Amino acid sequence: MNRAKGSYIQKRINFNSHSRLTKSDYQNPGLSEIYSDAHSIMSPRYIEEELRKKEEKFRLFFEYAPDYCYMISPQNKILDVNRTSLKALGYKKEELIGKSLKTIYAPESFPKVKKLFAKWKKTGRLKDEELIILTKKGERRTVILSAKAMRGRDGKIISSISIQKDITEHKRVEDELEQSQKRLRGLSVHLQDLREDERKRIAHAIHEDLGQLLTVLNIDLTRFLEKIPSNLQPLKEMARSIRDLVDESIETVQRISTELRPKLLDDLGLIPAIEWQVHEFQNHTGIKCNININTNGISPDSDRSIVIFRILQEALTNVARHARATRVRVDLKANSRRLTLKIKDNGKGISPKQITEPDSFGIIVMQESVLPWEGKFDIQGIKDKGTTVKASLPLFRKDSPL
Amino acid sequence: MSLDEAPHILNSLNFSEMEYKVLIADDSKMLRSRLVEMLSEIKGIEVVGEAEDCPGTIEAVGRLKPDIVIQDIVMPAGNGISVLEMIKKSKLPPKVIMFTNYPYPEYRKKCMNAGADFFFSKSTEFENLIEVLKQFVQDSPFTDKTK
Repeated sequence: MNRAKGSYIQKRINFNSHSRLTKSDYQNPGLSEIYSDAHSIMSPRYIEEELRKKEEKFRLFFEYAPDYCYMISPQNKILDVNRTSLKALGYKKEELIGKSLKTIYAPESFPKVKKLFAKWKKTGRLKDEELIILTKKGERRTVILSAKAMRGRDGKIISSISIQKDITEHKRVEDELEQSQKRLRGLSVHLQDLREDERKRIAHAIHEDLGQLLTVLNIDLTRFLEKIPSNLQPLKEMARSIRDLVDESIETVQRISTELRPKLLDDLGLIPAIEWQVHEFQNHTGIKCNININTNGISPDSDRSIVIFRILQEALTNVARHARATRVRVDLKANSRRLTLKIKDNGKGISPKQITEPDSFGIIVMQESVLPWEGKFDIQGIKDKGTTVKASLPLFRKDSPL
Repeated sequence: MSLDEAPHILNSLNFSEMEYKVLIADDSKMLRSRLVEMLSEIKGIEVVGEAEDCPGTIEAVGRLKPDIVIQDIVMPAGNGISVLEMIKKSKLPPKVIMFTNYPYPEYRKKCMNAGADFFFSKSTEFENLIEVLKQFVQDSPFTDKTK
Protein backbone atom coordinates (compact mmCIF):
# COMPACT_ATOMS: atom_id res chain seq x y z
CA MET A 1 0.00 0.00 0.00
CA ASN A 2 1.40 3.34 -0.92
CA ARG A 3 1.60 6.26 1.49
CA ALA A 4 -0.72 8.52 -0.49
CA LYS A 5 -3.40 5.95 -0.56
CA GLY A 6 -3.04 5.27 3.19
CA SER A 7 -3.51 8.91 4.11
CA TYR A 8 -6.54 9.17 1.89
CA ILE A 9 -8.10 6.15 3.68
CA GLN A 10 -7.41 7.68 7.06
CA LYS A 11 -9.12 10.88 6.07
CA ARG A 12 -12.08 9.00 4.79
CA ILE A 13 -12.31 6.81 7.88
CA ASN A 14 -11.98 9.85 10.21
CA PHE A 15 -14.60 11.64 8.22
CA ASN A 16 -16.98 8.71 8.62
CA SER A 17 -16.05 7.73 12.15
CA HIS A 18 -19.35 8.86 13.60
CA SER A 19 -21.48 7.28 10.89
CA ARG A 20 -21.99 3.68 10.10
CA LEU A 21 -21.15 2.15 6.73
CA THR A 22 -24.26 1.33 4.81
CA LYS A 23 -24.93 -1.79 2.82
CA SER A 24 -24.42 0.10 -0.39
CA ASP A 25 -21.03 1.19 0.90
CA TYR A 26 -19.95 -2.45 1.19
CA GLN A 27 -21.33 -3.16 -2.25
CA ASN A 28 -19.13 -0.37 -3.67
CA PRO A 29 -16.04 -2.29 -4.88
CA GLY A 30 -13.59 0.67 -4.46
CA LEU A 31 -14.71 1.45 -0.95
CA SER A 32 -14.63 -2.15 0.17
CA GLU A 33 -10.94 -2.31 -0.90
CA ILE A 34 -10.19 0.83 1.10
CA TYR A 35 -11.98 -0.53 4.10
CA SER A 36 -9.90 -3.65 3.92
CA ASP A 37 -6.64 -1.54 3.79
CA ALA A 38 -7.85 0.50 6.77
CA HIS A 39 -8.11 -2.63 8.80
CA SER A 40 -4.52 -3.52 7.95
CA ILE A 41 -3.01 -0.08 8.95
CA MET A 42 -4.72 -0.19 12.32
CA SER A 43 -3.08 -3.49 13.13
CA PRO A 44 -0.35 -3.61 15.86
CA ARG A 45 2.09 -5.16 13.41
CA TYR A 46 1.67 -2.26 11.03
CA ILE A 47 2.12 0.32 13.79
CA GLU A 48 5.20 -1.47 15.02
CA GLU A 49 6.64 -1.57 11.55
CA GLU A 50 5.96 2.13 11.05
CA LEU A 51 7.58 2.98 14.36
CA ARG A 52 10.62 0.88 13.46
CA LYS A 53 10.92 2.72 10.15
CA LYS A 54 10.67 6.09 11.89
CA GLU A 55 13.23 5.08 14.48
CA GLU A 56 15.53 3.84 11.71
CA LYS A 57 15.11 7.10 9.81
CA PHE A 58 15.85 9.16 12.93
CA ARG A 59 18.86 6.92 13.72
CA LEU A 60 20.29 7.42 10.22
CA PHE A 61 19.81 11.17 10.39
CA PHE A 62 21.32 11.29 13.86
CA GLU A 63 24.33 9.08 13.13
CA TYR A 64 25.28 10.42 9.73
CA ALA A 65 24.49 14.09 10.20
CA PRO A 66 27.49 16.25 9.20
CA ASP A 67 27.22 18.09 12.53
CA TYR A 68 27.87 16.80 16.04
CA CYS A 69 24.63 15.45 17.57
CA TYR A 70 23.96 14.52 21.18
CA MET A 71 21.11 13.55 23.39
CA ILE A 72 21.51 14.97 26.87
CA SER A 73 19.46 14.12 29.95
CA PRO A 74 18.00 16.78 32.26
CA GLN A 75 20.52 15.45 34.80
CA ASN A 76 23.35 16.68 32.61
CA LYS A 77 24.40 13.25 31.35
CA ILE A 78 25.24 12.28 27.78
CA LEU A 79 22.62 9.79 26.58
CA ASP A 80 23.71 9.42 23.01
CA VAL A 81 26.28 10.84 20.63
CA ASN A 82 26.63 10.48 16.87
CA ARG A 83 29.53 9.13 14.77
CA THR A 84 30.58 12.55 13.43
CA SER A 85 30.99 13.82 16.98
CA LEU A 86 32.85 10.70 18.14
CA LYS A 87 35.21 10.99 15.18
CA ALA A 88 35.93 14.65 15.91
CA LEU A 89 36.28 14.17 19.67
CA GLY A 90 38.33 10.98 19.40
CA TYR A 91 36.21 9.06 21.95
CA LYS A 92 34.47 5.71 21.68
CA LYS A 93 30.73 5.84 22.28
CA GLU A 94 30.98 3.88 25.55
CA GLU A 95 33.53 6.42 26.86
CA LEU A 96 30.93 9.19 26.67
CA ILE A 97 27.57 7.59 27.38
CA GLY A 98 26.46 8.35 30.92
CA LYS A 99 29.27 10.90 31.40
CA SER A 100 28.77 14.50 32.42
CA LEU A 101 28.41 17.12 29.72
CA LYS A 102 31.62 18.69 31.01
CA THR A 103 33.57 15.80 29.47
CA ILE A 104 33.28 17.34 26.00
CA TYR A 105 33.66 21.01 26.86
CA ALA A 106 36.83 23.05 27.41
CA PRO A 107 37.13 24.39 31.00
CA GLU A 108 36.86 28.00 29.82
CA SER A 109 33.39 27.17 28.49
CA PHE A 110 32.13 25.62 31.75
CA PRO A 111 30.51 28.78 33.16
CA LYS A 112 28.68 29.39 29.88
CA VAL A 113 27.67 25.72 29.58
CA LYS A 114 26.22 25.86 33.10
CA LYS A 115 24.26 28.99 32.29
CA LEU A 116 23.00 27.59 28.99
CA PHE A 117 22.01 24.27 30.56
CA ALA A 118 19.85 26.14 33.07
CA LYS A 119 18.33 28.18 30.26
CA TRP A 120 17.58 25.03 28.23
CA LYS A 121 15.88 23.40 31.22
CA LYS A 122 13.75 26.51 31.64
CA THR A 123 12.88 27.31 28.03
CA GLY A 124 13.43 23.98 26.30
CA ARG A 125 15.62 25.43 23.59
CA LEU A 126 18.95 27.03 22.77
CA LYS A 127 20.00 28.67 19.55
CA ASP A 128 23.39 29.56 18.04
CA GLU A 129 25.50 29.63 21.18
CA GLU A 130 29.25 29.68 20.62
CA LEU A 131 31.24 27.27 22.80
CA ILE A 132 34.62 25.55 22.89
CA ILE A 133 34.71 21.77 22.99
CA LEU A 134 37.73 19.69 23.95
CA THR A 135 38.78 16.52 22.11
CA LYS A 136 40.28 13.53 23.87
CA LYS A 137 43.71 14.67 22.67
CA GLY A 138 43.16 18.11 24.17
CA GLU A 139 42.49 19.98 20.92
CA ARG A 140 40.03 22.83 21.18
CA ARG A 141 37.31 23.28 18.59
CA THR A 142 34.78 26.04 18.31
CA VAL A 143 31.15 25.02 17.85
CA ILE A 144 27.79 26.71 17.51
CA LEU A 145 25.24 24.90 19.65
CA SER A 146 21.49 24.66 19.16
CA ALA A 147 19.34 22.39 21.31
CA LYS A 148 15.69 21.45 21.62
CA ALA A 149 13.98 19.57 24.43
CA MET A 150 12.13 16.31 23.89
CA ARG A 151 9.18 16.11 26.26
CA GLY A 152 7.06 13.29 27.57
CA ARG A 153 3.26 13.20 27.60
CA ASP A 154 3.35 15.04 30.94
CA GLY A 155 5.33 17.88 29.37
CA LYS A 156 8.45 17.12 31.35
CA ILE A 157 11.79 17.15 29.56
CA ILE A 158 13.07 13.67 28.78
CA SER A 159 16.21 14.67 26.92
CA SER A 160 17.62 17.17 24.51
CA ILE A 161 18.56 16.86 20.91
CA SER A 162 21.66 19.02 20.71
CA ILE A 163 23.41 19.88 17.49
CA GLN A 164 26.86 21.45 17.37
CA LYS A 165 28.14 22.98 14.16
CA ASP A 166 31.92 22.96 14.06
CA ILE A 167 33.12 26.42 13.01
CA THR A 168 36.78 25.92 13.93
CA GLU A 169 37.97 26.24 10.34
CA HIS A 170 35.64 29.13 9.70
CA LYS A 171 36.98 30.85 12.84
CA ARG A 172 40.56 30.15 11.81
CA VAL A 173 39.97 31.71 8.39
CA GLU A 174 38.13 34.58 10.05
CA ASP A 175 40.99 35.14 12.51
CA GLU A 176 43.53 34.96 9.71
CA LEU A 177 41.51 37.46 7.72
CA GLU A 178 41.30 39.74 10.74
CA GLN A 179 45.05 39.43 11.32
CA SER A 180 45.69 40.09 7.68
CA GLN A 181 43.45 43.17 7.77
CA LYS A 182 45.26 44.35 10.87
CA ARG A 183 48.62 43.88 9.18
CA LEU A 184 47.42 45.69 6.07
CA ARG A 185 46.11 48.52 8.20
CA GLY A 186 49.41 48.68 10.04
CA LEU A 187 51.21 48.76 6.73
CA SER A 188 48.89 51.48 5.52
CA VAL A 189 49.63 53.58 8.62
CA HIS A 190 53.34 52.97 8.18
CA LEU A 191 53.19 53.97 4.51
CA GLN A 192 51.21 57.05 5.44
CA ASP A 193 53.86 57.99 8.00
CA LEU A 194 56.61 57.38 5.45
CA ARG A 195 54.76 59.47 2.92
CA GLU A 196 54.36 62.33 5.39
CA ASP A 197 58.04 62.15 6.38
CA GLU A 198 59.07 62.08 2.75
CA ARG A 199 56.81 65.00 1.92
CA LYS A 200 58.19 66.94 4.86
CA ARG A 201 61.77 66.25 3.79
CA ILE A 202 61.16 67.20 0.14
CA ALA A 203 59.15 70.29 1.13
CA HIS A 204 61.97 71.41 3.41
CA ALA A 205 64.62 70.75 0.78
CA ILE A 206 62.72 72.67 -1.90
CA HIS A 207 61.77 75.54 0.38
CA GLU A 208 64.99 75.95 2.26
CA ASP A 209 67.68 74.99 -0.24
CA LEU A 210 66.17 76.11 -3.52
CA GLY A 211 64.17 78.89 -1.91
CA GLN A 212 67.18 80.40 -0.16
CA LEU A 213 69.23 80.36 -3.38
CA LEU A 214 66.47 82.16 -5.24
CA THR A 215 66.12 84.64 -2.39
CA VAL A 216 69.82 85.47 -2.51
CA LEU A 217 69.61 85.70 -6.30
CA ASN A 218 66.73 88.13 -5.88
CA ILE A 219 68.73 90.29 -3.47
CA ASP A 220 71.71 90.27 -5.79
CA LEU A 221 69.59 91.24 -8.74
CA THR A 222 68.01 94.09 -6.83
CA ARG A 223 71.41 95.39 -5.77
CA PHE A 224 72.62 94.94 -9.34
CA LEU A 225 69.64 96.97 -10.56
CA GLU A 226 70.53 99.80 -8.19
CA LYS A 227 74.06 99.91 -9.57
CA ILE A 228 73.07 100.11 -13.24
CA PRO A 229 73.52 103.72 -14.40
CA SER A 230 70.27 105.39 -15.38
CA ASN A 231 71.50 105.96 -18.93
CA LEU A 232 71.55 102.16 -19.50
CA GLN A 233 67.77 101.81 -19.47
CA PRO A 234 67.52 98.68 -21.71
CA LEU A 235 69.92 96.83 -19.40
CA LYS A 236 67.88 97.92 -16.41
CA GLU A 237 64.70 96.63 -18.03
CA MET A 238 66.34 93.30 -18.74
CA ALA A 239 67.51 92.98 -15.12
CA ARG A 240 64.00 93.83 -13.93
CA SER A 241 62.41 91.12 -16.05
CA ILE A 242 64.97 88.61 -14.74
CA ARG A 243 64.08 89.65 -11.19
CA ASP A 244 60.38 89.19 -11.98
CA LEU A 245 61.13 85.66 -13.13
CA VAL A 246 63.02 85.01 -9.92
CA ASP A 247 60.07 86.39 -7.90
CA GLU A 248 57.76 84.04 -9.74
CA SER A 249 60.13 81.12 -9.11
CA ILE A 250 60.17 81.90 -5.41
CA GLU A 251 56.38 81.90 -5.30
CA THR A 252 56.31 78.57 -7.16
CA VAL A 253 58.79 77.04 -4.74
CA GLN A 254 56.73 78.25 -1.78
CA ARG A 255 53.53 76.90 -3.31
CA ILE A 256 54.97 73.48 -4.14
CA SER A 257 56.59 73.01 -0.75
CA THR A 258 53.45 74.13 1.08
CA GLU A 259 51.27 71.81 -0.96
CA LEU A 260 53.59 68.94 -0.08
CA ARG A 261 53.53 69.69 3.62
CA PRO A 262 52.28 72.96 5.07
CA LYS A 263 55.00 73.99 7.48
CA LEU A 264 52.55 76.01 9.51
CA LEU A 265 50.86 72.76 10.55
CA ASP A 266 54.07 71.78 12.32
CA ASP A 267 54.96 75.25 13.56
CA LEU A 268 51.58 76.75 14.45
CA GLY A 269 49.30 73.75 14.82
CA LEU A 270 46.05 72.51 13.33
CA ILE A 271 43.83 75.57 13.70
CA PRO A 272 46.01 78.09 11.83
CA ALA A 273 46.73 75.39 9.25
CA ILE A 274 43.00 74.82 8.67
CA GLU A 275 42.36 78.56 8.46
CA TRP A 276 45.17 78.93 5.95
CA GLN A 277 44.05 75.95 3.85
CA VAL A 278 40.43 77.10 3.69
CA HIS A 279 41.54 80.63 2.84
CA GLU A 280 43.78 79.29 0.05
CA PHE A 281 40.92 77.13 -1.25
CA GLN A 282 38.60 80.12 -1.35
CA ASN A 283 41.18 82.22 -3.18
CA HIS A 284 41.88 79.56 -5.80
CA THR A 285 38.36 78.32 -6.46
CA GLY A 286 36.23 81.36 -5.74
CA ILE A 287 33.97 79.14 -3.62
CA LYS A 288 32.84 81.11 -0.58
CA CYS A 289 34.01 79.46 2.62
CA ASN A 290 32.93 79.82 6.18
CA ILE A 291 34.99 78.50 9.08
CA ASN A 292 33.67 77.80 12.53
CA ILE A 293 36.25 76.69 15.07
CA ASN A 294 35.34 75.79 18.61
CA THR A 295 38.06 73.66 20.18
CA ASN A 296 37.87 74.95 23.75
CA GLY A 297 41.59 75.66 23.73
CA ILE A 298 42.42 72.02 23.00
CA SER A 299 45.37 71.51 20.67
CA PRO A 300 45.53 68.01 19.19
CA ASP A 301 48.92 66.36 18.82
CA SER A 302 50.74 66.43 15.50
CA ASP A 303 49.72 62.88 14.47
CA ARG A 304 46.02 63.58 14.89
CA SER A 305 46.43 67.03 13.36
CA ILE A 306 47.87 65.63 10.15
CA VAL A 307 45.05 63.06 9.86
CA ILE A 308 42.40 65.77 10.22
CA PHE A 309 44.28 68.19 7.97
CA ARG A 310 44.66 65.63 5.15
CA ILE A 311 40.93 64.79 5.37
CA LEU A 312 40.15 68.50 5.03
CA GLN A 313 42.43 68.76 1.99
CA GLU A 314 40.90 65.67 0.36
CA ALA A 315 37.34 66.84 1.05
CA LEU A 316 38.05 70.30 -0.36
CA THR A 317 39.71 68.77 -3.43
CA ASN A 318 36.55 66.73 -4.00
CA VAL A 319 34.40 69.85 -3.62
CA ALA A 320 36.51 71.67 -6.22
CA ARG A 321 36.51 68.73 -8.65
CA HIS A 322 33.04 67.26 -8.39
CA ALA A 323 30.58 69.17 -6.21
CA ARG A 324 29.72 72.24 -8.32
CA ALA A 325 29.25 74.03 -5.01
CA THR A 326 29.16 77.76 -4.40
CA ARG A 327 29.56 77.61 -0.62
CA VAL A 328 31.49 75.49 1.86
CA ARG A 329 31.25 75.45 5.61
CA VAL A 330 34.08 73.99 7.70
CA ASP A 331 33.50 73.18 11.38
CA LEU A 332 36.23 72.05 13.75
CA LYS A 333 35.06 71.17 17.23
CA ALA A 334 36.72 69.56 20.21
CA ASN A 335 35.65 68.55 23.65
CA SER A 336 37.70 66.76 26.25
CA ARG A 337 37.25 63.47 24.42
CA ARG A 338 36.86 64.01 20.68
CA LEU A 339 38.03 66.18 17.84
CA THR A 340 35.49 66.52 15.03
CA LEU A 341 35.84 68.02 11.58
CA LYS A 342 32.84 68.64 9.34
CA ILE A 343 32.92 69.92 5.78
CA LYS A 344 29.57 70.72 4.23
CA ASP A 345 28.98 72.07 0.73
CA ASN A 346 25.89 73.12 -1.19
CA GLY A 347 26.75 71.26 -4.38
CA LYS A 348 25.05 68.52 -6.33
CA GLY A 349 25.49 65.92 -3.57
CA ILE A 350 27.48 62.72 -3.77
CA SER A 351 25.40 59.61 -4.57
CA PRO A 352 25.48 56.38 -2.52
CA LYS A 353 26.93 54.64 -5.60
CA GLN A 354 29.79 57.13 -5.83
CA ILE A 355 30.55 56.67 -2.13
CA THR A 356 30.90 52.90 -2.44
CA GLU A 357 32.61 52.68 -5.80
CA PRO A 358 35.80 50.63 -5.43
CA ASP A 359 37.87 53.26 -7.22
CA SER A 360 36.73 56.10 -4.95
CA PHE A 361 40.25 56.17 -3.55
CA GLY A 362 39.92 59.60 -2.00
CA ILE A 363 37.03 58.39 0.16
CA ILE A 364 38.79 55.09 0.94
CA VAL A 365 41.90 56.97 2.06
CA MET A 366 39.83 59.25 4.32
CA GLN A 367 37.96 56.25 5.79
CA GLU A 368 41.13 54.27 6.38
CA SER A 369 43.07 57.17 7.85
CA VAL A 370 40.81 57.42 10.93
CA LEU A 371 40.65 53.67 11.69
CA PRO A 372 44.04 53.30 13.43
CA TRP A 373 42.89 56.05 15.81
CA GLU A 374 39.56 54.35 16.48
CA GLY A 375 38.05 57.32 14.74
CA LYS A 376 34.85 57.64 12.76
CA PHE A 377 34.30 58.78 9.21
CA ASP A 378 31.07 59.49 7.43
CA ILE A 379 30.15 60.94 4.05
CA GLN A 380 26.62 61.65 2.95
CA GLY A 381 25.11 63.38 -0.01
CA ILE A 382 21.68 64.75 -0.72
CA LYS A 383 20.88 65.30 -4.37
CA ASP A 384 21.16 68.99 -5.29
CA LYS A 385 21.54 69.90 -1.62
CA GLY A 386 25.18 69.06 -1.06
CA THR A 387 27.64 66.70 0.57
CA THR A 388 28.71 66.44 4.19
CA VAL A 389 31.99 64.86 5.24
CA LYS A 390 32.45 64.20 8.92
CA ALA A 391 35.52 62.80 10.65
CA SER A 392 36.13 62.48 14.35
CA LEU A 393 39.02 61.16 16.39
CA PRO A 394 39.24 60.38 20.08
CA LEU A 395 41.78 62.73 21.64
CA PHE A 396 43.14 60.14 24.02
CA ARG A 397 43.51 56.40 24.00
CA LYS A 398 45.37 53.93 26.16
CA ASP A 399 47.69 52.63 23.49
CA SER A 400 49.16 54.19 20.39
CA PRO A 401 47.69 52.95 17.10
CA LEU A 402 49.18 49.64 15.99
CA MET B 1 86.22 107.90 39.30
CA SER B 2 85.36 111.18 41.03
CA LEU B 3 82.47 113.42 40.08
CA ASP B 4 84.93 116.06 38.87
CA GLU B 5 86.25 113.66 36.27
CA ALA B 6 82.82 112.84 34.79
CA PRO B 7 82.47 115.77 32.35
CA HIS B 8 85.83 114.92 30.89
CA ILE B 9 84.87 111.34 30.23
CA LEU B 10 81.53 112.32 28.73
CA ASN B 11 83.27 114.72 26.38
CA SER B 12 85.55 111.95 25.20
CA LEU B 13 82.56 109.90 23.92
CA ASN B 14 81.52 110.67 20.38
CA PHE B 15 77.77 109.91 20.33
CA SER B 16 77.49 110.66 16.65
CA GLU B 17 79.63 107.60 15.98
CA MET B 18 77.52 105.26 18.10
CA GLU B 19 76.23 102.32 16.06
CA TYR B 20 73.33 99.92 16.41
CA LYS B 21 74.65 96.43 17.09
CA VAL B 22 72.94 93.90 14.82
CA LEU B 23 72.87 90.13 15.09
CA ILE B 24 71.93 88.11 11.99
CA ALA B 25 70.41 84.70 12.69
CA ASP B 26 69.78 82.57 9.62
CA ASP B 27 70.90 79.09 8.62
CA SER B 28 71.83 80.17 5.09
CA LYS B 29 75.44 81.27 5.04
CA MET B 30 74.95 82.85 1.62
CA LEU B 31 72.04 84.95 2.85
CA ARG B 32 73.94 86.03 5.97
CA SER B 33 76.86 87.16 3.87
CA ARG B 34 74.58 89.19 1.57
CA LEU B 35 72.96 90.84 4.58
CA VAL B 36 76.34 91.63 6.10
CA GLU B 37 77.35 93.28 2.80
CA MET B 38 74.14 95.26 2.55
CA LEU B 39 74.11 96.33 6.18
CA SER B 40 77.72 97.41 6.06
CA GLU B 41 76.61 100.10 3.62
CA ILE B 42 74.28 101.62 6.22
CA LYS B 43 75.97 104.15 8.40
CA GLY B 44 75.15 103.63 12.07
CA ILE B 45 74.67 99.87 11.75
CA GLU B 46 77.28 97.35 12.83
CA VAL B 47 76.85 93.59 12.39
CA VAL B 48 78.32 92.25 15.61
CA GLY B 49 77.58 88.59 15.09
CA GLU B 50 75.96 85.81 13.14
CA ALA B 51 74.11 82.71 14.28
CA GLU B 52 73.07 79.72 12.18
CA ASP B 53 70.71 77.87 14.51
CA CYS B 54 68.31 78.37 17.41
CA PRO B 55 70.63 77.63 20.39
CA GLY B 56 73.37 79.69 18.72
CA THR B 57 70.99 82.64 18.40
CA ILE B 58 70.01 82.56 22.06
CA GLU B 59 73.64 82.25 23.11
CA ALA B 60 74.74 85.12 20.83
CA VAL B 61 71.96 87.41 22.09
CA GLY B 62 73.10 86.81 25.67
CA ARG B 63 76.77 87.31 24.86
CA LEU B 64 76.68 90.14 22.32
CA LYS B 65 73.70 92.10 23.68
CA PRO B 66 72.65 93.33 20.21
CA ASP B 67 70.26 96.22 19.74
CA ILE B 68 68.60 94.54 16.77
CA VAL B 69 68.21 90.89 15.85
CA ILE B 70 67.34 89.90 12.30
CA GLN B 71 66.16 86.32 12.47
CA ASP B 72 64.55 83.60 10.39
CA ILE B 73 61.60 81.45 11.53
CA VAL B 74 63.01 78.18 10.25
CA MET B 75 66.37 77.38 11.76
CA PRO B 76 67.99 74.11 12.81
CA ALA B 77 67.70 72.71 16.33
CA GLY B 78 64.52 74.49 17.31
CA ASN B 79 61.84 76.88 16.23
CA GLY B 80 62.48 80.51 15.37
CA ILE B 81 59.23 81.61 17.01
CA SER B 82 60.28 80.04 20.33
CA VAL B 83 63.64 81.81 20.01
CA LEU B 84 61.80 85.10 19.48
CA GLU B 85 59.72 84.47 22.60
CA MET B 86 62.83 83.76 24.66
CA ILE B 87 64.65 86.82 23.41
CA LYS B 88 61.69 89.02 24.20
CA LYS B 89 61.53 87.70 27.72
CA SER B 90 64.93 89.19 28.56
CA LYS B 91 65.18 92.35 30.70
CA LEU B 92 66.19 94.75 27.95
CA PRO B 93 65.10 92.93 24.85
CA PRO B 94 66.51 93.91 21.49
CA LYS B 95 64.32 94.87 18.56
CA VAL B 96 63.57 91.73 16.58
CA ILE B 97 62.96 91.74 12.86
CA MET B 98 61.60 88.47 11.53
CA PHE B 99 63.01 87.89 8.06
CA THR B 100 61.44 84.84 6.51
CA ASN B 101 60.46 82.92 3.45
CA TYR B 102 57.16 82.01 5.14
CA PRO B 103 55.31 85.27 4.66
CA TYR B 104 51.89 83.87 5.51
CA PRO B 105 49.50 85.97 7.60
CA GLU B 106 49.26 83.16 10.20
CA TYR B 107 53.02 83.38 10.80
CA ARG B 108 52.94 87.15 10.82
CA LYS B 109 50.19 87.14 13.45
CA LYS B 110 51.96 84.55 15.58
CA CYS B 111 55.28 86.42 15.42
CA MET B 112 53.77 89.79 16.16
CA ASN B 113 51.91 88.28 19.13
CA ALA B 114 55.18 86.80 20.32
CA GLY B 115 56.73 90.26 20.38
CA ALA B 116 58.35 90.70 16.97
CA ASP B 117 58.84 94.34 16.01
CA PHE B 118 58.78 93.74 12.28
CA PHE B 119 57.95 90.88 9.94
CA PHE B 120 59.33 90.89 6.40
CA SER B 121 59.35 88.44 3.52
CA LYS B 122 62.89 87.66 2.45
CA SER B 123 61.84 87.53 -1.17
CA THR B 124 59.65 90.54 -1.60
CA GLU B 125 60.30 92.81 1.37
CA PHE B 126 64.03 92.84 1.94
CA GLU B 127 64.15 96.44 0.77
CA ASN B 128 61.78 97.20 3.66
CA LEU B 129 64.31 95.63 6.01
CA ILE B 130 66.97 98.05 4.81
CA GLU B 131 64.55 100.95 5.14
CA VAL B 132 63.62 100.01 8.71
CA LEU B 133 67.28 99.77 9.72
CA LYS B 134 67.96 103.15 8.17
CA GLN B 135 64.97 104.49 10.05
CA PHE B 136 66.37 103.17 13.35
CA VAL B 137 69.55 105.07 12.74
CA GLN B 138 67.64 108.14 11.65
CA ASP B 139 65.44 108.12 14.75
CA SER B 140 68.31 107.48 17.13
CA PRO B 141 68.74 110.24 19.75
CA PHE B 142 72.47 110.04 19.08
CA THR B 143 72.24 110.69 15.36
CA ASP B 144 73.36 114.08 14.28
CA LYS B 145 70.29 115.16 12.34
CA THR B 146 71.91 118.34 11.06
CA LYS B 147 74.11 116.29 8.71
